[in-house]
Amino acid sequence: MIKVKNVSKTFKVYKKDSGFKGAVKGLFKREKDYIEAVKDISFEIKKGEIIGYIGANGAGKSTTIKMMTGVLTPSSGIIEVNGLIPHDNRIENAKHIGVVFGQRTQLWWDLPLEETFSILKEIYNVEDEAFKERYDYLIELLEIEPFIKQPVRTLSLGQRMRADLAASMLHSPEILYLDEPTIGLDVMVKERIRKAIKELNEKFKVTVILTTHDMSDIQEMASRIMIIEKGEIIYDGSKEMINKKFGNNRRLDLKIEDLNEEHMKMMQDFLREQDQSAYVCIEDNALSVTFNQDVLSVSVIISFAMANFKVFDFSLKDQNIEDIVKKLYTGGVS
Amino acid sequence: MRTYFPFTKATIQEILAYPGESFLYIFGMTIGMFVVYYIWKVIYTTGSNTVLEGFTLKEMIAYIILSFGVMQAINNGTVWNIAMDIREGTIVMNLIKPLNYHLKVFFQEMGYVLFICSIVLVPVILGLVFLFETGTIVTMLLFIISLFLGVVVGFLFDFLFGMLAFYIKNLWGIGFGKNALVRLLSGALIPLAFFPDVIQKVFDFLPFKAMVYAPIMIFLGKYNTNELVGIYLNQLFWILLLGLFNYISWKKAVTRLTVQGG
Repeated sequence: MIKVKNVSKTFKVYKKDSGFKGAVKGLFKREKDYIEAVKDISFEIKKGEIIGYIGANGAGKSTTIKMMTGVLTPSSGIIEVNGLIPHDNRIENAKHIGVVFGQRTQLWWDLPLEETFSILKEIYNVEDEAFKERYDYLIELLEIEPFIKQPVRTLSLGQRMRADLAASMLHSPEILYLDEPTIGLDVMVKERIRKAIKELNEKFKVTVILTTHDMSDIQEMASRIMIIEKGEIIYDGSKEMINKKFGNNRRLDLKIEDLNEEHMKMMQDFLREQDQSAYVCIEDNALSVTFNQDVLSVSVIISFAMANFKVFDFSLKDQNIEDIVKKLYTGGVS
Repeated sequence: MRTYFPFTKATIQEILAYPGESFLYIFGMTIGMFVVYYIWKVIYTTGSNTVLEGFTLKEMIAYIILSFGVMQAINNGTVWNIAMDIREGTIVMNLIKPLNYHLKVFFQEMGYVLFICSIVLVPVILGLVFLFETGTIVTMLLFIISLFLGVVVGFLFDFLFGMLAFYIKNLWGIGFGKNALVRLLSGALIPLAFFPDVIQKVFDFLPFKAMVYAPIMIFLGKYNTNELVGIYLNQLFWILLLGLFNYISWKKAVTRLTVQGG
């Protein structure tokens, strides 16, 4: 359904020196700088998949999505969506996709919400009957009825996001691109949006490409995970495989009396000789150690801790995706 | 067309959502109009001529009122809308829809043009035709055609100008400069007939005359049939030429689009 092959995107930016002097200098001489937002990425997405596309801010997620939607033209490489090249056939491609950018809205700011929906009906040329059915279904699914007559500017963020999701689905798209759809939302609204996305996926076999910083979005929705880091895809596979790929890791949390940096440093020094990939940090007043259990056994760490620190409690967890991602973002995985 | 008409409707609804703003604006415009009116009145009553460059005082008054209305319709915010879309990255929201961006913006602006027409221009031309007899029903209809063509010329010019936002991220200053220039060169400030002949020749080769001066002169019945056809052809020529420029520059701009703000 979606094929991305060896795609790169380079942006040209102009550097400006700071301050007034820099601004004046910028008038005469501008230094060009090239940013490689996406470097030679390739993947394929099948119909009905829910892809969790994750990466730190500026890793290249949104750029990839904008290229797939045809808004941006790749610097090199080929993108094919449903047999179309998106940036060459932007309008045709747009008929079959729905897009939600969590940071922007596609709703008419000053008009009542239902007005936006009827404008969208005209834009996408949806038949009356098909529209009615979809409309009623989405209104109920996302519980939009109570605020449908309000101008969009008066909606809360949660209401607006639900409305935006409904707006993106009115024309029965086959692919739904969601760029941070749960940003800034409370737990209840997030839950409702996740439920709706899952239902849309099951009921209509909509392919969903989802970017988010909320790992529980991924845990609950995604069937496949792609991780992008500094413009390169460093992982593409199932949720389960991710653990294997990044080592059979476990996490040990040690509660220590008077926990401080000193403890952390000691632990780091100790582990350096044993397991290069081990990762130590202080979190929730506990010394947290993530390590590869193929290389290092729990008992070694515990006995070291017992011998050197005053440990009054500990817990052992299998690593979850969030930990992996955290490590990735801080450059912990080689 | 059905696809784009809702944009016109939505703009009108949006204007009506803040009615006070529009009416205050028109109120301010009216005051400006009176200032210009008194200046001309002094010019006409102090000199010995009752006809200046072919304009009687009555015609001059009609010209002033119409030029304010027409300028309002031409200067409909296209530049700011496009520049804002580009600058703030909201252009993405348009590009993910199966829409031609030019047509979308055009139909959006038509909402504003229709609004100005219905509350300013239509009452004004009806008044001028039936109360002051400075135009006829025929010239009124010819004016409306020419006005529409002029609005299209204005739109295409503004769109081209607005696209500068791809290169110059802040259009605010030169946008105002452009407005002042258009006001002068289109005849919105003073009728182009008051310029020296040489300069008037130059105006024939610029698109601005087609926006304000030409439609109003048609209304005042200043053109014979040949000249009238010439004016229409001139307007159509500018639509084609500016349309071509738009097509080329849009094709280029879109491939180098960088979306602001993520």
